[in-house]
Amino acid sequence: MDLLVKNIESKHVLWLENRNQYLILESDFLQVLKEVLKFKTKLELLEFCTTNLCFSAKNANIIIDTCVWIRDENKSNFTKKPLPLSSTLPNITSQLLFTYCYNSKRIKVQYSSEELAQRLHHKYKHLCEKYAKNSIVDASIIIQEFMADFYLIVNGVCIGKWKESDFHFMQGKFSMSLLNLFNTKTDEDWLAVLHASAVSIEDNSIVFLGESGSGKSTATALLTLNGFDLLADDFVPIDAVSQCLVSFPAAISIKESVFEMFEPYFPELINSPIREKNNVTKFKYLYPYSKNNLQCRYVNTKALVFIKYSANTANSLIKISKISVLERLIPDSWISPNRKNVTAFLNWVISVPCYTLEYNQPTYLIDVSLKLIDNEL
Amino acid sequence: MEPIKKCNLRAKRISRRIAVNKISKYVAVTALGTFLILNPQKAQASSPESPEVPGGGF
Repeated sequence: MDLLVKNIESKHVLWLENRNQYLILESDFLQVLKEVLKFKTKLELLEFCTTNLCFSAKNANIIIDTCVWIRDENKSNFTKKPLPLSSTLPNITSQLLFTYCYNSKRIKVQYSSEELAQRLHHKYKHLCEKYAKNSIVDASIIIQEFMADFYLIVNGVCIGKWKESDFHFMQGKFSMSLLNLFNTKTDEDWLAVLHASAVSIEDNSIVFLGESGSGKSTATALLTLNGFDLLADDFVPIDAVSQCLVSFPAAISIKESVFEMFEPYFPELINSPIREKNNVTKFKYLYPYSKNNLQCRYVNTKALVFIKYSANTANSLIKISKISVLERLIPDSWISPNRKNVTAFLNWVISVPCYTLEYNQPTYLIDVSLKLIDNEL
Repeated sequence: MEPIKKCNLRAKRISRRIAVNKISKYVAVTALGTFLILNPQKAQASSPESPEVPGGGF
């Protein structure tokens, strides 16, 4: 098993390549695990622990057993199921064809049913130009429902198959496919895609993270009214080569609780249909894009901010440890399983200042965001 | 390594489980400290949304 270890603060972050899994360990633990991964005998391991690390026999047994469990538990689950050839799927008869234009690329997207189009198209409809038969496009995507499965077909090749319960992964792969095609890249070319929102001013950006409902999208929309550009909402890609954040032009989801607040500033929201997330959260799509920002942008990251809005909380901005950032960031992100990219990703997290921001007034959010961009904090 | 209190760990484990849909694991090793296993998302994901879309239309 190949190991990649990064020392961060007083801990060790270990990446297990075979499983694409991250462990956060203390020093002694790492030493024992390294020995266990060499498949040494129990006797050798006990001697190592009691002699080199001065553990009692009882504690040595506990830690060895735990390290063996780490080694053996949850072995690689990367067995790829074969995907069908797209030619084995029935031909699509629907006329739900759209051409999405961004970054001077034209992508033809076809949905096999109106329901699928309803669920997926509206996030990108602002990129739409009228579809004309026989017009030249750079790539094509088909999203097809067949026998209770959803298939994603990119340039004639089926790249994935999902059940309804995994629909959000299909949506994610669809977004990833668009991102790749807009940027002429492949999955290997990205360090990570964060479940986050990001805004920018010129070449600098701030990333907002937090659980669903924490106010990432609301903060993003607020800041676009105050001199910031929208970089991405819900899906923030990081380029592997430059380690810049890259714009992704999906619509912002505005939650029901702030419809009234935003309607005077975005009048198009008034007649926009209400949609639902998880059958609970009501939202509307907002498209804060002009023709000028339909080109791809690569920007630096000035701060990672875990955000929380609450009317009853005091305003605060607190710097936080990288380990606590990784604890929250890794499980919520897609991170490239490429070794070089993992190293770059960890270095990227180390290099970016990280904060928690709690606020009860938009003015505080705006003030802090401007200061973060201008290095005034 | 400093020992950790089991009760604190338990509380943290539950909240994290809820937060990340049972993706990551906190594990305690009695008297020897803790380690944390984090699994990134296996694929790119979007926030899920309901198939019921009232008032849709193109």
